[in-house]
Amino acid sequence: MVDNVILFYAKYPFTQYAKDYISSKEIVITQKVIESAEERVIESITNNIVPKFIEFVDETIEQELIIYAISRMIVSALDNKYFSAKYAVAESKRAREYIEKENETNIHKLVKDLELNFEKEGNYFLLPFAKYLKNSPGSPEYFLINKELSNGKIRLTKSEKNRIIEEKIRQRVEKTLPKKQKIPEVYKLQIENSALKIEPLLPKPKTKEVNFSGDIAPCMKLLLDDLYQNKNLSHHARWSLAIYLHKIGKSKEEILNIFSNSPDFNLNITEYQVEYIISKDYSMPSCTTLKTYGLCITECGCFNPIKYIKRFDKNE
Amino acid sequence: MNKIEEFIKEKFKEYYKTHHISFPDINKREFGIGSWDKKIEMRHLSFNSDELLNNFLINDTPFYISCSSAYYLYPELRPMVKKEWTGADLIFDLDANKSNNIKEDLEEVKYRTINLIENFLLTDFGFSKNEIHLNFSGSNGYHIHIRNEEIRELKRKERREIVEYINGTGLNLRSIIQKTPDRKFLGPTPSDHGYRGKLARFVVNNPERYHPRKIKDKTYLNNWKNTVSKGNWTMVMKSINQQKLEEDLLTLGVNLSQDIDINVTIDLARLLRVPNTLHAGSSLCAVKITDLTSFEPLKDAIVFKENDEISIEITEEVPEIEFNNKTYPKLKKDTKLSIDEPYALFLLCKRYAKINQ
Repeated sequence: MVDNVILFYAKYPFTQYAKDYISSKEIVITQKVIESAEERVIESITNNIVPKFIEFVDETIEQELIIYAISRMIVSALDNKYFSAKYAVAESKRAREYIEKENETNIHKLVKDLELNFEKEGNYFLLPFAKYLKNSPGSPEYFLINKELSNGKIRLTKSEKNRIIEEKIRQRVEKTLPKKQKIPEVYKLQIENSALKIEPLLPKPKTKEVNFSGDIAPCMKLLLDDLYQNKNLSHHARWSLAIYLHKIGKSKEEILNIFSNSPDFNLNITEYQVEYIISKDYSMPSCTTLKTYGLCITECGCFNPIKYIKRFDKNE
Repeated sequence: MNKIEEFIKEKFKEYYKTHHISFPDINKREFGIGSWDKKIEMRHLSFNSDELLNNFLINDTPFYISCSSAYYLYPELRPMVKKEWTGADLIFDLDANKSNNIKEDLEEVKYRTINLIENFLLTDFGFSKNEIHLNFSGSNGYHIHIRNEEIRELKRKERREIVEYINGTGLNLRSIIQKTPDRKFLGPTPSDHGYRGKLARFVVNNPERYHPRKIKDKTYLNNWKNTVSKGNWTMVMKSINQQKLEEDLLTLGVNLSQDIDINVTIDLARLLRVPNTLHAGSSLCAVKITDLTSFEPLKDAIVFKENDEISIEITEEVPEIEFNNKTYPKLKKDTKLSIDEPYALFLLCKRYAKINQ
C-alpha cells in the first residue's frame, strides 16, 4: 500500500512539505538516479515533458524525490537561462497533469503551500487581484482587462485556477534553482558530467529566413532586429509584434520561426499564443497604445504600424 | 532671487509656520524639492521624522516639495539601486486637459477622478475608503495614494495591467459578445463583474441612446432590457450600430492621459507632491480631500485669504476666472491694478503678472 502522504511529495516535489521530508532522509545517489535525472532534464528541454514514475511503490516514490533534486542541480550546473526556463515549464506541466486529477484535500494542501488563497464561490474560484497579477500567465486571455474583477477579487473557472497554480509552480521551480556554487562537492563531478552531455542541446541562433516584401514600420523593425540578436522581448513587445506579423500576412509557421530566436522560446506556449491571436484576429495596437508600451521609437506619422506598410504598397 | 520669488517665499514660510505637515512612513521616503523655475531641482533628500520635515519647510521653504510613493531602506543614497526599494504605494495622477476655461477643465478632471474612485478603486479593486488617500495636485488635477500591504510589492508589469484595466486599453467588443454559429449573440449580464457587467449595465440603462425614436415604446424597451439581462444580445446587436457600441465600451474606462498619467502609476520611483504643501505654480495648496463631490479647487485649495490689496502688472492676458467665490474679469496684458491678495498671489504664481514697482 502506497503511503498517500509520500505520494503527494513525489507528485509535487517543489513543495515545502516534500523538501522537509527529503532533507530528513539519508540519501544514496546511485548511477541509476543520475541517469534518470539526466533523462528528466533532457526530456524537459527537448520535449517539454517530465518522465513520470510508473510504479506506485514507496521506493520509487522516494527515488523520484531524489531524482528531482539531482535534476535541479544539473539545470543549475548548465547555468543558462534557456535551460532553466524550459525545465521549469516542463516541471510545472507535469504537476498540472496530477492537479487535474487530484482530490480536494490535496489541492487544498498544495495551494496553501504555494500561498495561493483561492476562495470558492459556486463553480468559480476567487483570488485577490494582487496575487493574481503576480501569478498570471502572460497570455492575453489572462490580461486583467479580460477578467471579471469585483471587490478586489478575480473570478476564475476551475481550469483557469489550475493554470494559475501551474504558473506559480513554474515560477517557484525557476526561482528556487540552487546556485551553481552550492552543488555539494560529493556529486559535483557527476553533475557537471551530466551537464556537459546536455549542453549541446542549446539551439543555435537562427539567421533571418523570412523575407519581407515592402517596408516594415520602424518600431516593429527594431523588435525584429532585437529578436534576431536573441534579445528577450517584453510581453507587450511580443504581443504587438505577433499581431503585426499576422496582419501583414505572415503564416503561423513563419511567425513561430521568427519567435524561435527568443532565448526563452517555448514552442508550445508560443504556438498557443500565436494561434490565439490568429483565431481572435486581434486588431493591431495603435501608435498611441504602442507609446504607452514604450515601443514607439520615432514619429513616423502612421497612426498604426499596419498603415505604414499599406502606405508603402500604394506608392509602389 | 527676484522680488516675486522673495514675496512668495515669505508667504509660503508663514503658511508652514502655522501648518503641520506629515507623511506616513516618512523615514522610508525619498524627497525632492523645487525652485521657482523647476518643480524638482534636487532629489535624494530624506527626513527621519515629520518634525525634521517641518523644520526644513519653515527654514528653507522650497517652492515645491515632493515625496516618493516608494519605500526604501536608504532613501538618501544614490544611485537609485543603493536605496534598496522595498515597495511602493499605488498612485494615480490625473491631470486636467488644458483649454482656456480653467473651471471646465477642473470639472472634467474631477469627474474622471470620481469615476476612478467610485467605479474602479472602491468597487472592482475593492480598496477600502481608508486605504484611498486623495489630494488636490496643487494645480491642475488630483493625486491618489493607495496604501495597502497587498499591492505594495507589485512591480511595473503588474501596475501596468492595473492602469490598463482602468484605462480600458485593449478592450474590444468581440471578446465580450460572441456570435454563435446560428447567428445569435451571447454576451454579459448586468450582474457580471468587470467590463462585461459595466457594458451590460450601460446598455440596459441607456436604450434611448441607441433607439431615440423608440423611447416611448414601452414593450420594445422592456424587451430590450429583459433580453440583455439574460445575456441574450441578439436583439441589441441586430438592431444597433455596433461601431457606436464599441465606442461606448471605450468610454467606460477612466481615460487616463496616455503619455503622462499612465507612466506615473507604473513608475516605481516617482515623486509626487506632499499633500497639504504649497504649489508655486498656482499658490494653491495640495489639500487633502475627504469629499470630492463638493470640492472646488479655486475656493477650497486657497490658503492665503488676507484682505490686503497688492499692486500688480499683467504680463500675459488672463481669461475671466471664478476664484475664491468672486468672478474676476478678463485682464489685458500691461494692465496695472490693485487686486485682492489671494488672487494676486494666484496670478503671480501662474506667471500671469508681476509685482508693480
